[in-house]
Amino acid sequence: MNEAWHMSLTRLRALLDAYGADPDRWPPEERDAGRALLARLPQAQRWQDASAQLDALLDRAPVVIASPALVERVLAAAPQRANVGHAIRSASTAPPGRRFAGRARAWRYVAAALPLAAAAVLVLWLWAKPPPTPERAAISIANLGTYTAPTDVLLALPSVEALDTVPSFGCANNGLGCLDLAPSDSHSALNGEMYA
Amino acid sequence: MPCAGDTDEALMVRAGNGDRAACQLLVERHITRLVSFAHRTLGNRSDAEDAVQEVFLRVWATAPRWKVGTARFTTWLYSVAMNVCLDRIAKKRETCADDLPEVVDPRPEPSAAVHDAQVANHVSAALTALPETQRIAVTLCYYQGLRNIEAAEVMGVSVEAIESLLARGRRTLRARLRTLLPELLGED
Repeated sequence: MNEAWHMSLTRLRALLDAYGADPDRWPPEERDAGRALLARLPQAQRWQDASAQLDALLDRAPVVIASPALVERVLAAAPQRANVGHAIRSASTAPPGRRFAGRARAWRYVAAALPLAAAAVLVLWLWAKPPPTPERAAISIANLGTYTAPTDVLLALPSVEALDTVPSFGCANNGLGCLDLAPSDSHSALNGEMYA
Repeated sequence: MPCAGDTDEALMVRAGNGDRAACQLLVERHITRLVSFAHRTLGNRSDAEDAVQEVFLRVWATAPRWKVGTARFTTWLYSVAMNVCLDRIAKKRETCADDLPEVVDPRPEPSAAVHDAQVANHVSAALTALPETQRIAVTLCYYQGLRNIEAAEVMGVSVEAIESLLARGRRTLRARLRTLLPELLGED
């Protein structure tokens, strides 16, 4: 028995309603049976004609093509060899056994890049360190020059009260204002009592 | 070097490796059909081109991770395109709730024959006015030529559901375009 006989009119109507008049648009497994029914039944042909009218209208919908500008934008964003990581490529396309080889290769690249990165950071740090300002450099030179003068001249400066300064160590001249570090008699007597 | 005989899936792998010629072939094969799909789904050219650009950005982002045999490229591509279009429809609905698709009076002006461009606009407007799922089903099956099983996969529904969406969509289109049918048939 021909399988065309197995298709009901209801099913043929459903195919025409859903997919349109052209059997080439129908599910492949139902095309022959549908065509056979159409060839046999005038009523089915009328349904097909009505469906073809709607198809003809739908075919008059505007056809839009992509503008050259869009094609250019899309291609500009396409991946390039430079920005696709080798490790990613290996992981995505290689068979599972080779994924780990790709991962080890990636780690070697990381290890090689570390010293370079450290050197780059050092250079950046040195470069970023602010140089002495011109004003500060001039003050330093002036200070170095000041100390070439004799000490007496420095002490004679009105801002320095040399006579008020009292050396506290290594000075034994009372005339210069040094403290008398020699033990006094009372002090000796006291010590004598303590150690008696 | 990719050749025209390469499958889309093979081109995706090459594209993921930064093969520019493979990217170009993929674009040449699919961009016009994608623009057509987006235009019929979104209803205007500007939105359609923006959507297609976004679709290809997702294609390029996925290419390095693409594995042959996991999915059919065309089905996956239309799934991405459908989601991008639906996102845009949802955003547009949020920002301008009143901006509904323009429903054009399909009756031709009595004093002049309807020009081809006007008919095309009427058909386009009738398509745009369909509910989203019906519109996408009609676009995928009728205009893009996908088989029912492929359209079902793209939309994530059963084949029976696709047939139902198609039938309802075409019934609505027929009702909206009914007054154009005599003009199409050359009747007064």
